[in-house]
Amino acid sequence: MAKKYLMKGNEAMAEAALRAHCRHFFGYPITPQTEVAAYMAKRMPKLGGTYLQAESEVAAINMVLGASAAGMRAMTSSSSPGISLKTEGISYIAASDLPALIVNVMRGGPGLGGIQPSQSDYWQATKAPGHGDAQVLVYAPSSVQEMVDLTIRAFETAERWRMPAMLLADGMLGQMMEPVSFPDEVPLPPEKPWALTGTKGARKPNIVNSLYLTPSQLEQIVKERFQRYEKVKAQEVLCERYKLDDAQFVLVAYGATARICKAAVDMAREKGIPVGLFRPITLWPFPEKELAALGGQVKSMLAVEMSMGQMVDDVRLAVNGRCPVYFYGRTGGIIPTPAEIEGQIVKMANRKEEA
Amino acid sequence: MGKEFQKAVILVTGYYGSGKTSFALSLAERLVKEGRPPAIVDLDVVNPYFRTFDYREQLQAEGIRVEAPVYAGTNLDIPALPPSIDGLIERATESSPVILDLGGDDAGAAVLGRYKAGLLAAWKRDELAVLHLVNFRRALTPDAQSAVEEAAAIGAACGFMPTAVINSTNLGPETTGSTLLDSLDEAEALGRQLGVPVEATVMEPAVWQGLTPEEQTQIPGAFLLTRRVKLPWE
Repeated sequence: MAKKYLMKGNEAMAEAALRAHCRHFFGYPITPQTEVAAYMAKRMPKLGGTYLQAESEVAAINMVLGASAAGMRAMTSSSSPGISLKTEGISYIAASDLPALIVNVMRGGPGLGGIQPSQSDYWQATKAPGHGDAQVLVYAPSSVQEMVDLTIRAFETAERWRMPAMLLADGMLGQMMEPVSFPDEVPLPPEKPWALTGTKGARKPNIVNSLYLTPSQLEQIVKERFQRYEKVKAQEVLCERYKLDDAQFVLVAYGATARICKAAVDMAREKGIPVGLFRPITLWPFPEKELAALGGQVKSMLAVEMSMGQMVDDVRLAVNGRCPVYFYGRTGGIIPTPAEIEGQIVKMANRKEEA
Repeated sequence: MGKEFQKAVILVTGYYGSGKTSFALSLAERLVKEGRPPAIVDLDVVNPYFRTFDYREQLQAEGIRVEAPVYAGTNLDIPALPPSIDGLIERATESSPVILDLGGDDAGAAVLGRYKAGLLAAWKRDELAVLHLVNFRRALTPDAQSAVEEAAAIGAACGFMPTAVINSTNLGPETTGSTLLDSLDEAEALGRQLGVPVEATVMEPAVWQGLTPEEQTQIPGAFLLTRRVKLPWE
């Protein structure tokens, strides 16, 4: 087995990107993801890659667009307020059908917000990662090992579907340390026949573009892109089920919150409450079918988030009235405790069925 | 306990995540037990997460004075340092020592420039310990050579080279006796290259108990840790 190292989530994700042959990183520092840039700054020159601290987040994301258009595996990382600045560029990348990896290590918001962990950018990541009709793949790791595995996967799926992917982590995951291992070998990126690599007089020029001169042309392009999104929805959903086999009550949580919920599930199980955890690993595409099926089997669900309630919207849409869906959240950089969530499980289990 | 731990001013340096805060907190606890209640200064102006300041109430209840950047624990992550830290360094004695828990890397050590006069005075009196922590299971310091480079960068940033190596090699919850035993040669090589002793080998009590008596004799300066830095679900 590969040797294990003790790593922070931020470092592990940066190392994973390097092992996935990413040689172009464009960043700008912001707490709590600065270690990503610091790690890249140390390692990238030794690998002959490009680490560049741009003059702003807006510049960094557009450098990613350029590098990706040239066929390179490219990425940027930031934290909530920085991601807001990048959203214009993300929209252009999506419109240009380019793969790229964008990392958001979420902190409290809105505005400048705080520097402690949060999950209040769910809506931004899944509903409006930029203007226009577009989606990005959104992966939500919940351990340092998943920061590694999903970083590699995100590059690969982004290239498979020619669309941007986002790793949506939070300050807790970025900063905490856990043992991790890396795959011995990550496959090289596939050939990209569409990339702007110079015709060398041997082929017609490739064009990477997001401007279409007529409305009908633009509508056609967007419709085709949405047909591709349907395939992504059918093929790329990931989720984890924890103690759901006999569960009558279900917690739904992602990221670091899911780790806390697991501890709460174990505590409530000791009290005899049949509760389990459903953890979406992809937030877009969201595990709609899986949750819908589960909604028909259980008494109720409780979405737990470090926000005022964002993912809970998607849980309710998926469950579509098959069972009540409640919400519990903390925000502003406050991390809920296992005991606090266990209290919510008890409350849910004691609730009278609503007519 | 090692001679370096008897000094009046104890700097705890090392790479990001080498275990500085966990070690500094345990050292403080041990000094209290020895009748030398220390002050501990959270000098981490680099990273706002998992820091000494988070444990100040517990520590103060145990007789350990805690000083920290003025805005530690808030959303204003600016490195404003209170003047009381100067006094702690200048007035530290063997019976009333001060532990400075630095931020990681050369970036974290740079803050010591601010305290150069007091530290230099302590160094001249042979009352300054610079304890350099190393975890050989961190990805960027897997061996003595990379750890020497790291120590040199930190030394250059703060102006003081290590006076002792502290081997804090661990894999978090997956640490076993062999994690530690495998690191002993590298720790010794690091000490040799820096010209300083391996003053302590840090581990949780369970890891120590998992070693055979014979293996225990191989460990230089076993230092058992009270782990306070925990994740919310632990």
